[in-house]
Amino acid sequence: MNTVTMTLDARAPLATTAEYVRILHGILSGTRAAGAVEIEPFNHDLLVVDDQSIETPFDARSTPSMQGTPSDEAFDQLRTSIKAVGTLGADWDGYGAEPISQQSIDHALLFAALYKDKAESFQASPDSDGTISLETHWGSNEAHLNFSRAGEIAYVLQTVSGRHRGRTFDSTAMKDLLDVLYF
Amino acid sequence: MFSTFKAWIRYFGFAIQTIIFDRRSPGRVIDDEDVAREIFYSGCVKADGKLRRNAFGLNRKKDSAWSVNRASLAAPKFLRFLGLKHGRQRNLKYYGSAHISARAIRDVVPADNWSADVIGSLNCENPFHADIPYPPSHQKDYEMDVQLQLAEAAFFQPEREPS
Repeated sequence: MNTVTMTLDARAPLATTAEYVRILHGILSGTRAAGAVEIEPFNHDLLVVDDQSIETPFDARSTPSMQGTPSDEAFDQLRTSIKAVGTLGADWDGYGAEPISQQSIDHALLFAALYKDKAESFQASPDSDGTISLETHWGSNEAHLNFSRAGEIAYVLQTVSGRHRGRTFDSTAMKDLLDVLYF
Repeated sequence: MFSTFKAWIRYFGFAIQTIIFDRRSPGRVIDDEDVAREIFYSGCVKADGKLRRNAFGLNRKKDSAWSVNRASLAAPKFLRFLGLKHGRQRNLKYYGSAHISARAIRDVVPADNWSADVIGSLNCENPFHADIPYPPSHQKDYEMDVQLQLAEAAFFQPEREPS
C-alpha cells in the first residue's frame, strides 16, 4: 500500500512538467504559424472575451495539430526531403541521370500538402529521368507515385488484390484512390 | 590495370570451359548466375536495406540497357575495384551493389509479351559486363512497374573489403 502511494507521489511532478512542455510547444508552434501567414496588427479594441472562447479555444480534434504534433513535424520533414531531392544535379546516380526538375518538385509538394496528416508514411526519391517520386507503405500495401514535369502522376499500387498501375493529371482523384485503398 | 588483366585471364578460362564442356556461348548468362549493379546514390537503398526503384534508373536519353556485372563469375575483388574506380571517375561514392539472379530478371514480366533478359556484353575494361535491355518504350507507369519488379527481386550488398 505504501509503495503505491510513493509511486503516485513521485509521478506527480513529472506530469506537471510534461504539461508545461506541452503548453510551451503550443506557444512555439502558434508563433511559427503566425510567422508563416500574414496576420493583421493586433487590435486590442476588438478583444472580446466570452465564456465559450475560454472554455474551447480550439476544436477538440484540431488542438493536437495546432500544438506542433508529430504529424506537423512529419509534414515539414517530407517537404524538406522533397526539396532536398530537388537539389540533385546531373548524373546523381552515376548513370547519367538528369537533374531533378523544379516543376516535378512543385507538383510533388502540392500533392504532399493533401496528405499533411499522413506525411510520415510518405518518402521522396528521385528518378533518373529528372522527376520525383513519392512512396508510401501501409501495412502490406505500397503506393509508388511519380510526378512528371507536366503534372501527370504515374502510379503503381501494390494491394492484397495485386498490382495496379495507371496515370492521371487529377491529384484529387489520386488522393481519393489512395484514401480508398490505404487510409 | 593488373586487376583488368587478371579478370581477362579468368574470363578466358571460363570461356574455354563453357565452349568445350557446356557447349554454349560464354556470352549467354545462365539462370543461376548472379549479376550486380553498382550503386552510387545512397537514396537507392531504403533504411531497411531494401532497394528502391531508382536503383534500376531508366533513362532512355542516356542508355538502352541497365548495366550490370556478372558477379558470380568475376572475382569479388575485381568487382569492388571496378565500383570504386567508377565512383572516382564520376566523383561519387560507391555504396555497394544491387544483386539479382538472371532467373529473377527473366521472371520480370509486365502485362504484355515482353520479358526482361540479361545478356553478356563484355568490354575492354570489364569482360564480365552484362546488359539488361530496357523494355520497349512505354508510358511511365509501365516502366515503373518493371523497375519495381527488378528492385523487389534484388538485394543490396554494401561495399566492403572482400575477405
